[in-house]
Amino acid sequence: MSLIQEIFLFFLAGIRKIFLRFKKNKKMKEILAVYYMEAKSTRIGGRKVAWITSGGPVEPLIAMDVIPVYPENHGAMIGASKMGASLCETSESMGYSSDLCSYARSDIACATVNGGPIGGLPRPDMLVCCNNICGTVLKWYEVQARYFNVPLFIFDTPFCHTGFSEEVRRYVRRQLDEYVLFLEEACGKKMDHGRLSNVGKLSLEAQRLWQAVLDTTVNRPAPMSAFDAFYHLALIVTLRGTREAVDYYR
Amino acid sequence: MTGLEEFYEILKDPVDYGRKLKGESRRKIVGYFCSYTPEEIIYAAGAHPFRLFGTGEAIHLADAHFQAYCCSLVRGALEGALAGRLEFLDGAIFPHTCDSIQRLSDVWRMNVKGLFHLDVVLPVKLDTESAKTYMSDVLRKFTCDVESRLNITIGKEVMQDAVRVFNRIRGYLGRLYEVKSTYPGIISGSDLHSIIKASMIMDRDRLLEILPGIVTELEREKGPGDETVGKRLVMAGGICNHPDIYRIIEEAGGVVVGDDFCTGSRYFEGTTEIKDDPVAAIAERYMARPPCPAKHTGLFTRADHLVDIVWEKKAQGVVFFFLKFCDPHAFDYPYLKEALDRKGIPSIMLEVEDQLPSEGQLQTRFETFIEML
Repeated sequence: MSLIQEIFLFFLAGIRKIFLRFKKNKKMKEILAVYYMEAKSTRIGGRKVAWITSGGPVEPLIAMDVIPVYPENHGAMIGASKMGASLCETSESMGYSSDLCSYARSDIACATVNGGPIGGLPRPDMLVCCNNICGTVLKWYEVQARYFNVPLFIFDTPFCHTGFSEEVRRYVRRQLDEYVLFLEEACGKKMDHGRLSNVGKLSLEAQRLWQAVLDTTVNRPAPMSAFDAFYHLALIVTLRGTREAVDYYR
Repeated sequence: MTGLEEFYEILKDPVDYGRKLKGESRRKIVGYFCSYTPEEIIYAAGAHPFRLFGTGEAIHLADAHFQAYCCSLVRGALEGALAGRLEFLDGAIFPHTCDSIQRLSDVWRMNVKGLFHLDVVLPVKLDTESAKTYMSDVLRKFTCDVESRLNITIGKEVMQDAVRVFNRIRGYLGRLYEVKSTYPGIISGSDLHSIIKASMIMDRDRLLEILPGIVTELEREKGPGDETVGKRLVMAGGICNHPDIYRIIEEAGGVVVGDDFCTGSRYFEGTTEIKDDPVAAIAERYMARPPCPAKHTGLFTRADHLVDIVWEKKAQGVVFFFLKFCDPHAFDYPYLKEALDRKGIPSIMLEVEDQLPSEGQLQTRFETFIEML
């Protein structure tokens, strides 16, 4: 079998798995299937892929035409498809303690075997780690940056225990500029700031709409459950800053 | 070695020591948890920095606040506070390191009353200009917070003097490690450990009265070389709160000649320059010091540093010594081990909680490992 055929079959298998994953909600299924197909076929389309943490600012990636991929969502997908146990065993054989976060362990193992429910995530060209969610992501992304030998940007957001302070604001603001420089270097092109501002507007709009969706639950009876909220969360995380996310929540 | 009774006396009951020190010196006692706590600033404010370790006692009260998968340092410290054993503390400092310490800060603030509480949310990455600026900013804010809590103004000269005090302490501790590495039989591992650990608890002025004599005496004495003592080993991990481990290693035919511990070389490495802006100088030391795994200075810096220690100390193997449930260390372990493997440096990994596993079991593991070297 030629290499081209092999690649074709690999993608076909991946896409079939993706469709099987998202058969629940038609609209969500379509949007996320296209997203994962795009992400998995970037090698052909020439677009770059960034792995990013769930709380990381995704807008600059969208503005740079980089496809954001979320290893945390991948960890959840692995868990939901009951494939976590065997991948965690693999990570343990790599030396990772069984006490460590299972999302991280299953993703770290998955990268080495291209396994899991969608045949592994598309290979990253860069990694963006924002530690506002936890300290674990820092270690997880360091592991992956060494494994894939790609640049890592750490977006360091100091934890606010009792309040937000001016020096934190300055530090985080400066890092936004560093983030853009990092992307320009990793992508080999300049940021289009007009486009970034447009992406920012779409992001804010989607966030406002998502908040309005969540606010509907103050009604009795509530029109949706917490599980529905987790389900519909996917786009505000994954495709924040795009027109699709705004349309979906509207 | 003789002359160490004072250190052992303090370590026998650190809490009792803290209470007495408070009574005798009338100074405020400020508890802290990790080597990223700017002790100089506490000292400059006329207070006493008192490092807290886990409790040796059973943990009950802290279980109501922490999951069982939090490390014994965090659970033990909270247990001590909730049980009222740390009532002599006037304040507690929580530098941002790992998720567990971060949570400890919040749980402590909400449940432990009667003392002031300060967070020092240091940067996590230490390899950029903006992080360096932020590090100075945070330490400056911390200084103001300490001043307001202790109702004092710290002058520049006072701060510089405090920096000098801690530079001297660190310098002497570094020389102790040097002499131990040159003449491994000159002082036992447990004795050395006790000096280091007590130096984070005891009155620093008193420490500087007795430490120079001990160091110069050892340097003059010169002891037996490695051939009579054992295979040279380096230990690596977070905190080591177990003096017995050194004796067990020595009985198994090894000797610890260096470490990468938060309660070891990471605590005393690096000198703070005496500058016009002493707080910025303290920040610079933190940026340059060998990092803890909860901080980022590069993808390979910790492995490079560990290999450097092994080579510099002419060690034959490494003992990884981790506190169970310490995520940052557990995440780094595979890559550190791989880096050692690539250089042909054998290693062994041991994970412990508050108590060591049975001595016989440890003895066998160490004997097997050391025989292999």
